[in-house]
Amino acid sequence: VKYTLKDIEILDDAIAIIRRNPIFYGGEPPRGARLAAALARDLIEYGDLPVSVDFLEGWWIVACEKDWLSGEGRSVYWSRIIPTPEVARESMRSEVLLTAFSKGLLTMAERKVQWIVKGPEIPKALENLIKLKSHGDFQGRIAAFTVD
Amino acid sequence: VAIVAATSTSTAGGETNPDAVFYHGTSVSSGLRLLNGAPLSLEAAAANKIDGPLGFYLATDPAAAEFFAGRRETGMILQYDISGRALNGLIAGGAALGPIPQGRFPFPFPGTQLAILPSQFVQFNSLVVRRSITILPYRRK
Repeated sequence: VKYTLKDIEILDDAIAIIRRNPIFYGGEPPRGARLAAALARDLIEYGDLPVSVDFLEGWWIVACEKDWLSGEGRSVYWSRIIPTPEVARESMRSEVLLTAFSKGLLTMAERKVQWIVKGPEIPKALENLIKLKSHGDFQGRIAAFTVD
Repeated sequence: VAIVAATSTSTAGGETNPDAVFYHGTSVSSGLRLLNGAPLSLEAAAANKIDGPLGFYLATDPAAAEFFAGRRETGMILQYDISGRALNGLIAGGAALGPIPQGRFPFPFPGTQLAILPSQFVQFNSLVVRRSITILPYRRK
């Protein structure tokens, strides 16, 4: 064996790969609207409906009545580049883009809030939305993030 | 044939040829196997395939290769130095030099790709053995 792990550069940090490679965002680092649109497009195209998008006091909120990450092993969507060959070639899920470019990113499902990127204090309007969803019969998921 | 990745000249097989440099993003396990002499095979190509037609794909831009490596849990990039004669032979044998299909990716990929057909794996492996194709680990600058 000529080559071992010592001889290669291992690429295992998807966030770093995305941040240093403009091919993932087409030039300028993406603004919130583009990231929200990318996630909403995923949900639409993968059949996770109904989906809604809102913008509250600097935070983008993508909400879906289905918990699109409830399947086994899907929590890695936030941290890895996940291809989806069942949909198209050269595809990837958008969640990891939000992780790479958000200043703050949280998700809420099953009445639990999880910070993916610990960010600034969330605005009252978002806090109220989360409370509302937590106390109702909401079976879906919310992703909320701020970029600027 | 226009060799888009030509970066230098060298002597291979007793003649002066332009070298074409390509990059292949893959998993660490597959990359190490190829670095250590494993030939291209239908079985390995099928086992490593994520999407697109079966084949072996090389990109002229390492950033594009990094996308493909990044789709693996642990990825790496291989560098393929190919002599001009070898590249011309591969293209004559059916390899396609052209844009990387964009698929569902939102932006065009930089550079071009060389798509090696499964029927050319034997030809490709022979070029590696004859050192008309050299495989190296690639590190980002």
